[in-house]
Amino acid sequence: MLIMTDIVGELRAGATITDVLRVQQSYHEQRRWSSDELFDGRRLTRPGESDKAALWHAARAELTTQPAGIRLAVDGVRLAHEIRESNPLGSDVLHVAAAWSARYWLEEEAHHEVSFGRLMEMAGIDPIETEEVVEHRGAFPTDNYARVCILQACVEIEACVSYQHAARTSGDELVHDVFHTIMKDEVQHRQYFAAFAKALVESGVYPVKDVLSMAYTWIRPDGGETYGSTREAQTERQGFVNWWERIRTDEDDFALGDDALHEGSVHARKLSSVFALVREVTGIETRSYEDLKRAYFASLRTNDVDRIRSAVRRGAGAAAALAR
Amino acid sequence: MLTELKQHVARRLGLTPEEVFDGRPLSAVLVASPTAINSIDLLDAFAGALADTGFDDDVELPTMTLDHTAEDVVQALGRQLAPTAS
Repeated sequence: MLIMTDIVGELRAGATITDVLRVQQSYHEQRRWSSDELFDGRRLTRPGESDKAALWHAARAELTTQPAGIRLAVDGVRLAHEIRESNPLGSDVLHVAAAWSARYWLEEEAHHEVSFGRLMEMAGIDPIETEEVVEHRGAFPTDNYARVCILQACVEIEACVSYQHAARTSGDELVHDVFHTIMKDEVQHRQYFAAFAKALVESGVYPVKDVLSMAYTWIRPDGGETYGSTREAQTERQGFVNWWERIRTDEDDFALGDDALHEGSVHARKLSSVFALVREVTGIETRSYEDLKRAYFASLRTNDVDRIRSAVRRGAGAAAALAR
Repeated sequence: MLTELKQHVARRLGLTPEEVFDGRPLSAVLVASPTAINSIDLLDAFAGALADTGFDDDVELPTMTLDHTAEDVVQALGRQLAPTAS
């Protein structure tokens, strides 16, 4: 049992919304785990300072999934109705994406929120104050659905890489198991968001540029979202929280070290995962920020994937010639 | 050069150059635009204008927040383009 990555292909071959949702349900049931069983009778033995910092952040980050999931569920169904006559295939895709967000993503992320919160308190960190919980539940803003899918895929990549790093570097078995278990869920979620974005482009609901713009925005060296709270210029958010903009660094309590954020293998894995995401969703190969920038700018002139690929190759070739 | 860039930015936002470059913050430009929703649409407008004018290989889009003005962004692009133009 795997995630259905070619949703448009399946729908064109005769699958219905119901068929796709049954596959989602089976996969969900196959992969479910219990937080109570994961914690049953276990204690923290050697939680380190980096474990506590990772838990402080993860417990807060997971709070923001609920408003994002509600937004995707509500906006997906609304848009599906709007385009039902003009683009029934795209409408089906949106129903599939909205149902997954409402049912499985929210349910699975609830396990993450509860597990990280519980473990954080076991590590002796104060529970998150009610006001802060409420703030993190602020309504997620409406946006272009394909861009939100790519945004969420990038957020899942951040979570995957960060949780994998926390699991690998922890000396505590329970900390390892919780981060590792949740990391495996986030890998699946990233795959779902990639599949939905791909299907929205293939069904003509959105152009390729909407995928590339968000990926570019995520990793651009000067001000990209992946640099979060360390960016020089921050836009003030009203009514909602982007958790990556709240990351504590330097001298703050529970600060994350650079090795857990923007340096070395952790950062390299984040970037290579975003390039892989772009390839899966658009079929356009990018291997560097410069490639992605060329693809994005080319997509503002054309929606033809072959022409965008040519622009990437041409630009990379010209840059290589200049470097010689 | 920058005049042409401004025209393309405004066109992509569905506004006139006067509306985009009258000194209002980008947050107000977003409110005025009939098509743009958020900062990614602003990014598309500036990046698209650079692509329209053929300068996209020569510059990096500056960091911008919704408190900046469109003129701030164009001036930052102009500083990068100055060596190219000369």
